[in-house]
Amino acid sequence: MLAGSHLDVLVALLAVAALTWLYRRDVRGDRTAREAMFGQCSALFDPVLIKPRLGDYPILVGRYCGHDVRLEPVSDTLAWRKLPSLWLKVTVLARNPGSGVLDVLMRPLGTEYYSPSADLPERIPLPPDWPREAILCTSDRSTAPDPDRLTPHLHLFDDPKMKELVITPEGTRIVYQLDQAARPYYMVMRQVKFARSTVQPDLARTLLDSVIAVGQSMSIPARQAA
Amino acid sequence: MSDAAITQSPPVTGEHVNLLKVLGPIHVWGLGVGIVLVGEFMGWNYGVGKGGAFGALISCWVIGLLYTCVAMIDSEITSTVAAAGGQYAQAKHTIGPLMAFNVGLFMVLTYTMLNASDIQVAGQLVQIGAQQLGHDIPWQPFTVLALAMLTLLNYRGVFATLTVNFVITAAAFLTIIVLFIGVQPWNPTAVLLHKELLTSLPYGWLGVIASLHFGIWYYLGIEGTCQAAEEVRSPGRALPLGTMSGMITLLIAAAITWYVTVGLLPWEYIGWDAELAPLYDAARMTASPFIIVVLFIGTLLSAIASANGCINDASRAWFSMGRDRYLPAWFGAVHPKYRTPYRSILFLTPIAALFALYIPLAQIITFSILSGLLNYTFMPLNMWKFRRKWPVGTIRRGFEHPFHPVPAIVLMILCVTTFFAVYLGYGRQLLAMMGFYIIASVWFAFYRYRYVRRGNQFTMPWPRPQGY
Repeated sequence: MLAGSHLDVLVALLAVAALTWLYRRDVRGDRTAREAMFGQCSALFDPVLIKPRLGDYPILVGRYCGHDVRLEPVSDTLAWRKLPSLWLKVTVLARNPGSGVLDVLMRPLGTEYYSPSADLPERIPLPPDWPREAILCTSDRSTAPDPDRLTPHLHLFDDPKMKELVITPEGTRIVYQLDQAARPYYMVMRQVKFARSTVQPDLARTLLDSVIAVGQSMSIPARQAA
Repeated sequence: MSDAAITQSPPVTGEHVNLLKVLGPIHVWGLGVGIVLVGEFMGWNYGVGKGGAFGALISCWVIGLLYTCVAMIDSEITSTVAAAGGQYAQAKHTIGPLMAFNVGLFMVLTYTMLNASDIQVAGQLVQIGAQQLGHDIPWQPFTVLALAMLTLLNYRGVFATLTVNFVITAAAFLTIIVLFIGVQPWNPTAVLLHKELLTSLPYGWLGVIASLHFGIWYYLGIEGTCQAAEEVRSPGRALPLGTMSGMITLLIAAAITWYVTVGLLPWEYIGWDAELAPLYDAARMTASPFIIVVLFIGTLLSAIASANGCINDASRAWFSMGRDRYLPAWFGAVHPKYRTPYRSILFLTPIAALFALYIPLAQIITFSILSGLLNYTFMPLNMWKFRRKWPVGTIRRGFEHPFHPVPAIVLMILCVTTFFAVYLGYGRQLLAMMGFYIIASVWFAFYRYRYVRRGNQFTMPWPRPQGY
């Protein structure tokens, strides 16, 4: 019969072992889920390279319809009193005319660390028919793309998951909400659980086509655009 | 229930995706009481020392009314001010940066002091448990260990992946039920000794007022259950129903806690300043090893869960203030790998540690309560201005709390009364906190404000306020 103190130690060790097993099981499960992020949509790209990141979601770089593209998931847990979001940055690397940056950010909170908007010095008043929850920022109005060129694409912001549209000399990017943390888990333990952590082919295709269309609008000569 | 059904807006493809979430135990537990429930396990008992057992019960229900008003007002704020940050964001829009700065500071100190009290209790509980097993160990290392582990988890962020089995964590609430059943409430004299232990109000009605101070502790943090979604507003009733469900859960838990504890322990012991974990001590009176172990685990888990939430929320608030330049922008940095507000986390951790290691529990709780109370005091003022500047119908509100301005008036009266209650027992702490906030406000107004980007304060797509 074990003495009382030995029994206490044994129980404590068993508890630690059980917790360790639980932890390792969950780590493996989470890593597997993250690595499968682009498993279903990778066939859209040729060639394609999925770059794993230790302790983070992988990044996909590849070629889609003749364009170099990059898909990068970003987890955002920094907004206060707001459920965390899993954003997908969809970037088409095709040069745009001009040397300035134009940024349309929806529902700005000031905590969007993945957005260049906080560092852009100029804020442009929103044109009348633009969504009122947006802010429009630029690095230099004289060298950035004309915001009016985005008018045919404003329907993109009808989707509340659309967060940002950025146009830089190096390319065009949208930021789209892939998922939002499950409320009960976050409320109890501030634990972030995303139910949907894979990019579906239809979604990827639609987002990429949208970004390509925006980029092509930037390249149309001014007279043709008008 | 807060998330019974979530319907996604159509994605860019035009397809509708409806997602009906099946309700499980986690959804019940996740009524939001997770981080608030620690108030049932410790801290409320100091109200018994102020006003006796019945005084604490009265304060429990009166403060429940206070928090009902808070929940109603906060639900309207969170569902209307699409910018995250709750009262912080609203204060920016309705009053201005100085008010928002103070609200942010209130929240940071509320959660940091709550964190300090949680980890002190966790450490001392480990000491008590070890003493029960015949080992005499200091509590401070366990307090520091708990804080260090939780800080590391929050530093590492979402990818730290210490997922806790919710069957275990749900026990923190179920332990109260277990204790309730264990004392056989259907057989009043078998275990519970209300007749022998309950007394009339030892300090009269002044004592009842004084006990309002610690009645706050039952519910402190419930406003943190209002977590906004990314889309402009959550489904109309989801937030207030979720918050009110949490209030009802807490009221039931508070009533059970009081009923069991005052039936097992004399009020003088319960209200004693050195009484750390009244529910656990009540369990020890049952002499049932099972109930004692269950309550030990429940108290420890609720304290750890609360501390984790506090580190998360306090650091996000401090980070937001850094991003807004209310504080040095240095605090607004994001860890390049873990995507966490690491500087804010590391800055607030030593403050929590100092208070946890060197300040008595009742005083830490008082500091937390005072900061929360200041926030609740300004809520009626903010709501009043909010409704005056943007009356119902001028902007879209996800939820309009009923009977305005009655909840605001009731909340203000109860807050003023509770300040008086704090003054009765902790006048020096009250003055110290007031002095701190005044000095901080002067620093902000005369020094820091020059760095604030004034054009970025107002982000809501609202029309010009009435009267402007």
